[in-house]
Amino acid sequence: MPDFSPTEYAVPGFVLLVLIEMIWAWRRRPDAYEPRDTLTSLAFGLGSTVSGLLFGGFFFLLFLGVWEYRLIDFGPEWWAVWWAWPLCFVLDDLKYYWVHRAGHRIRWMWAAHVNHHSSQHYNLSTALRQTWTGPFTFGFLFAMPLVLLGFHPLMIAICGGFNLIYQFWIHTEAIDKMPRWFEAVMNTPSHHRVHHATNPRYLDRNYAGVFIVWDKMFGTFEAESDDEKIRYGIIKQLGSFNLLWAVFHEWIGMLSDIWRAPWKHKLSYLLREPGWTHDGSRDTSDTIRARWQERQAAENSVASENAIAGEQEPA
Amino acid sequence: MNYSPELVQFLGSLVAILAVAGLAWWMKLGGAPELSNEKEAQAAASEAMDGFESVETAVDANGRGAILRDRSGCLLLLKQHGNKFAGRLLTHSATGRIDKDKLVVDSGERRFGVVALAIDHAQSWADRINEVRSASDA
Repeated sequence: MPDFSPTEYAVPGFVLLVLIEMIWAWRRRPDAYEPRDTLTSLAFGLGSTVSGLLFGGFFFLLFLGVWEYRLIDFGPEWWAVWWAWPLCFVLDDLKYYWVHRAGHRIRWMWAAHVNHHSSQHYNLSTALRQTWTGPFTFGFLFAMPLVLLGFHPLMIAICGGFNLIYQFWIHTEAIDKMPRWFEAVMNTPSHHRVHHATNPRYLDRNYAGVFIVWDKMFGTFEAESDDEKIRYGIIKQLGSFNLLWAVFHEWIGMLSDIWRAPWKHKLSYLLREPGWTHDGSRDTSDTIRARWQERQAAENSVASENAIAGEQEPA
Repeated sequence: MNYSPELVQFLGSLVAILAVAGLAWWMKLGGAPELSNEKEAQAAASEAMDGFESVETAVDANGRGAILRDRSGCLLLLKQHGNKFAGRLLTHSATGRIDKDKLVVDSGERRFGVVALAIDHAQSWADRINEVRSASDA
C-alpha cells in the first residue's frame, strides 16, 4: 500500500511561490500583501496541519471501517488499478463542490469554512488560511459515498491532497485570465477571485475546486466582470488580526445565537444559511443580492428613462 | 534530548512563517491607506456595507477612519485595518465620548475595538451615537 501525502511534498513549492508573489507585489502591487494579514494566514495554515494531525487519524479509521462495506472491490492491489485514480480524482472534486457549497450555505459548516474567507486580501498566503475546526462539522459525510463505492480512503486522501495543491495557485491577483479553453473547464484565479468576493453579484458563486464545470452544471457559476472592482473577505469584516478570534468568531457567534434563540428556532441557527435570523434582523447573501438587484433595476430604469427623454429633445 | 519529528516540523514551520511575514514587513508591503476626503470615505463605506448612501460624513483629520450617517439615521464607523478599511453599523451597544477634542467611539464589539476620530462637531456625533443607545433603552 502506498504511503504518500502529496501536500507534504508541496509545502516548499508553496513557500517559493509565496516569495515570488511577494516580489511581484513589491514591484507592482505593494497593497496586495499586508504583513500582519500574511502572518495570520500562515499561522492558520500551520494550525490546520496540527488539527489534521490530531483528528485526521480518527476519520481515516472511520473511513476504513466503512470501506469494509464497499459495493465495488478493486482487489487487494487497488492502487494498481490505474483508471480508478482519475475516476476517484474527478468524483472527489464533485464531492468537494458539494461540501464546499454546504460550507457556505449551512452555518455549522460555515463556522469552520469562514476562516478561509476572513482575509480582506487575496494572495497565495490566503490559500493557506485553512480551517482548524473542520473536524467539528459533518463535512466528512460527503466522502462516504466514495468510500462505499469502493475507493480506498487512502486513494481519496491522496486525490484530495492533489485537489488542495491545485487550488493553491488560483489564490492570486497576479494572473488575470488563462486561455479561454482553460477558463471554460478548469477553476482559475479569475473564477476563484469571484468566489472570495463580497460584491453582491458574486456572493455564493464558484464553489469549484479543480473543475469549474460543476458550477456551470449546478447553476452557481459567475464570470468575473472587468467593470467591477472586487472586494475580498466576508460581509462583516473582522477588523482584527487576532488569530484566535479569526479561528473561533463564527463558532462563538453561532453558539451564542443558539443559546439566546427560542427553542423552536435553535436548530435553524445551526443548519440554515449564515446571516439567517428568526426575526429577519440580519442579512443573508440572498437578501443582499436581492437588494442589489433591486437597486440595479431602479438605476437601469432611470437610465433608460433619461435616454428616452434625451431622444425626444428637439435638435 | 530527542524531539519528535512532528515537534521539529512544527517549530521549523513556525520559524519559516515568521520569516516570511518579516520579509513582507521588510519589503514594506501593505502600507497604510488614508481617507483624504468625504468621497473616499463614502466609497469605503459603500464597500463596508453594500448600498450604504451617506448624507453626512466626517473624516478623521489623519485619514484613519470616518463616521457616516445615512438618510435613515444609521451610523457607520470606518476604521483603518491593516491597509484596508473595516466598518460597523453602530448599534445600541456602541458609545461615543469626547477625549482631547477627539470623538472616541466604542463599537461595542471588543475585537473591533475603540476608534478615535479627529473630526469637526465631534460632540454632536457623540450625541447621535448615544441616542441610538438611549432609543434602544427607552
